[in-house]
Amino acid sequence: MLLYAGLRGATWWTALTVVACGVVLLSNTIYFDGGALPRFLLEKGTWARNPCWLAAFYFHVVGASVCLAAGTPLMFPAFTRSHPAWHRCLGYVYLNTVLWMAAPAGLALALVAKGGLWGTTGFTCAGVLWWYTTWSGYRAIRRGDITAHVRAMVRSYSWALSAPAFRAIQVVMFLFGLEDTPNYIASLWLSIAASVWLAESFLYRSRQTSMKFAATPSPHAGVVS
Amino acid sequence: MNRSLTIPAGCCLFAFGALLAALQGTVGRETAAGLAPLATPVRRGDREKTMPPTLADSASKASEIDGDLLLSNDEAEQVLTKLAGEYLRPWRQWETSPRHLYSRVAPRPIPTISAKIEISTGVTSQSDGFLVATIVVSTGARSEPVPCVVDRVTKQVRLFSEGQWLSEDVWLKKAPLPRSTKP
Repeated sequence: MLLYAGLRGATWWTALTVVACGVVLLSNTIYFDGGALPRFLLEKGTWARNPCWLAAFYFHVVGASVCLAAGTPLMFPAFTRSHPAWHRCLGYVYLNTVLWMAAPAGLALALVAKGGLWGTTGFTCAGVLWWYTTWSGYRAIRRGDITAHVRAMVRSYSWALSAPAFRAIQVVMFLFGLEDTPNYIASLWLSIAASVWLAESFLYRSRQTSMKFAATPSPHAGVVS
Repeated sequence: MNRSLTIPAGCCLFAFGALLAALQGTVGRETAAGLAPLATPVRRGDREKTMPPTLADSASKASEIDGDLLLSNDEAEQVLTKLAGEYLRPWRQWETSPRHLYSRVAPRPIPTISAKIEISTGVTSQSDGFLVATIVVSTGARSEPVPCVVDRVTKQVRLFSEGQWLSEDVWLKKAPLPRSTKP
């Protein structure tokens, strides 16, 4: 996976990422299979009965699930080389679900996120930066700047990965006995830190090793500095 | 922005609107079907003014009905216990559902959630036609009381939630779910 290029144990990290995305997709099915009302909704109290909040919630879950499913193959350079048409098709799906579904709905949900101001701030930062990096990636490829496109989309995908990271960190912290609300806030901010670190460490390695994506390198175009 | 973005954006907006309308329609229908307005003028006395109309009617009807046909305190408690059980059913279902094992909060224990019925025994609060009671929903150390009135003639229950009297069905659909954590 491109995100782990040049990193020790890249194969294992890649496998872990794919499995984590699969687990998140599987766990998201609990919102649609018509079984017992999931605990997340039970704990939202009044909000779980608010049509606007529910609509944003389902929009976010569907959009984010599509993003994870469509975005993961895009991070494999071999797949892009062998199936460029599929790369464009999945990229188009990823782009539109981030821009018009997952990120805006996530921002709406962030207004009443668990964890108070810390929760709202964290989710808002993640949503805004996810939207912006994805938009930057689109703008870069439209003007033919492949390097800037790769940089921006690696950042975008690492924001998408903050969802599985958030859940994984939360589970680990529960196992260590951390209380619910501090756990939620700590997991949120640690997952944000993990996303930033993943993307920036890749971009740092790519600069160190002179990793070339195209003939027109443009380290600052279309990306958050 | 070109069409490759504006068309999906429009479709997403339309889909969101449709989903919102569907959800609002569901909630609206449920609310309209079961709201018990409290403000309907009933000129029979101060006590009856504070009750939903159906209950106020029952108070007068009750005097004409044989005492054996009226709901006893024990029967009223059974009705309320059943209602409280229905209110807590989503949590019970989640507890027993195997799906909670692959939830991200699976390692976190589900708090003890229970409901207790308290029927007021004060002479001034009761009449032949209705019983005043409280359903106390306890989640861990927190308790949330829900005042309610049981019609002893029709066995209907009206519950006071969010500033209005609601029928059983609407309360079950509209009342905030018992929370296991602080907001």
